[in-house]
Amino acid sequence: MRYCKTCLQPDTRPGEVFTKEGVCLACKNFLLKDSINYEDRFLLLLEILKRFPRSKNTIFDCILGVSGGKDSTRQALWLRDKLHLNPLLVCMSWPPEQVNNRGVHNISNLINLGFNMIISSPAPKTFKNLMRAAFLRYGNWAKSTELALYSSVPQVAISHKIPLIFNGEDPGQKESQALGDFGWDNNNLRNLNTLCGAKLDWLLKTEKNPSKLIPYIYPDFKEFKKKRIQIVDLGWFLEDWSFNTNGAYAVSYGMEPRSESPEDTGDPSYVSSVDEDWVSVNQLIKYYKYGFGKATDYFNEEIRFGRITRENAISMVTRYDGRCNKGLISSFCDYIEIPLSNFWSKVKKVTNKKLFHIGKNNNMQPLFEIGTDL
Amino acid sequence: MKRLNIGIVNYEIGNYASLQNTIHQIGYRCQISHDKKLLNKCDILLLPGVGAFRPAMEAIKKKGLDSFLVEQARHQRPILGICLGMQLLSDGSYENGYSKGLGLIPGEIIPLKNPRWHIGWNNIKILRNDSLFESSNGKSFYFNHSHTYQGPTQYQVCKAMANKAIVASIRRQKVLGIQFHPEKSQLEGKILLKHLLSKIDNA
Repeated sequence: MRYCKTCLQPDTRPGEVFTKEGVCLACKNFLLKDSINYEDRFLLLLEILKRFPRSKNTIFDCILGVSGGKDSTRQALWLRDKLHLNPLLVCMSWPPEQVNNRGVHNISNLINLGFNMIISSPAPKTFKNLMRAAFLRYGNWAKSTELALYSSVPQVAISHKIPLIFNGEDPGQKESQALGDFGWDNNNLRNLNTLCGAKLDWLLKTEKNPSKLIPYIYPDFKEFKKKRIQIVDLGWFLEDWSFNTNGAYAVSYGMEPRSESPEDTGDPSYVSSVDEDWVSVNQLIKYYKYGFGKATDYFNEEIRFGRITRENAISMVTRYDGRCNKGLISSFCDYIEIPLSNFWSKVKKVTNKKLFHIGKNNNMQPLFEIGTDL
Repeated sequence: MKRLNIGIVNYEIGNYASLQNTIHQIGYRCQISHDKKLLNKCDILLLPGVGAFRPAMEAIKKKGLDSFLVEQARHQRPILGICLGMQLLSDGSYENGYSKGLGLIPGEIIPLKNPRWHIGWNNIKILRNDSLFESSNGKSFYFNHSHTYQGPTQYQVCKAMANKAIVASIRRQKVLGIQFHPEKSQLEGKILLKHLLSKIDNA
């Protein structure tokens, strides 16, 4: 494992390619930021909007996928108050066992800010079964839920005949995902690592009845073309698109940030995926797979913005990556109905043994030091 | 980065929207217009085109855009012709009898023979050092045409190999023509187009 020379990105991140100088994609792109003319990008956005005038028989100009979190709150307000558009918000809600009070508050807050919203809730039993399958197969429970989450948006766009969709990639991933070279056009979102090209074959092994998988079907390219669907990454047009700005912006409009300590959640930003808690379990497993978690994403951005030195970030990342309250692990196992021992045996299977020594009592000892090449 | 404003010359023959979409995708502003005042403010002019040479040329003349384009080229305005748009840059074409072109790049357009068309993906090879095309050398692009450029080698920049060599791009200073469709050539098309648009003024 090598680390980026300027931040703490490891080259174990899927899709990561360092430059010859040993700098990660995100840092390389960040350096180019100074040469980007954001005023020009704004004018470009206005031109794109002109190509998608409001259709007859609708009062909406565009669709926005939301969770009520930092990115969606900021985008919804920006679309309405800056661009004077009327967006139809689409939210895939977690099942009642999964969503937390904060998530319910935040989505209500967004509605209260004056937006129209469609909430889609995939059938909870199927949701749970697929989540279990995703965990047992990939060690990543979100593999199925992300499909439902991402698919809900173009599905509504197509059924409501509103072809223009806005989204905003997680700022932590924005610079480094393999989404092609051309910034704002997110019609190839299906190729994101978690979505795997929106293939369903593995879901069909768990859920034999294809009609139950409808919420998980991401409309294909042909459908996109036929219905003129265009997904625009709003983050590309905003110079200050980041964890902190989006978080501050959203909190000032009533979004509730995470209150638990990062010692328990591994999330030092307090504003990332706040509407459910098992994300910390997933971040923990990601840490065992690749050697980095949410703290790395967050502090890398802080390093790039010059708000923390790489040295100071090393101690913070060391402190918070791989932190996850044990109670969260047990509640997750209870939900997907597997014993704790099965959880750990799966986790051990997907753990990168070059990065971790697996000791007694599921004690994973990192063999690396954050920031030092292994 | 300099603000680049691209103008698509609209003479009402062709699918301008897909080209505009591609230009937007690669991050440039782009207007479709036949208004000379507006086009005069653009940094680069794009001349697309589909169909036959003669009606296209007539449509351009009808809007008074022929003398405008010649004037723009004289004042060193970068112009990029695409497909039929490239052919229109030449002196003239033998498609359905002879008709005169814009005369911005010496040479003429003649019918393809054996086979009489060139449709599909094909690699391009550069014929001489040209910084605009070097990074796309050997890459595949989408072609769809039945007539081809014939003229002095000094203006030929790239070729594609079919039964025999077919001129894929021509250039005279800042006037540039490409026979293939970058807007239909997936990622490589976008990469090339972005490269051409960002470098044409200085290369």
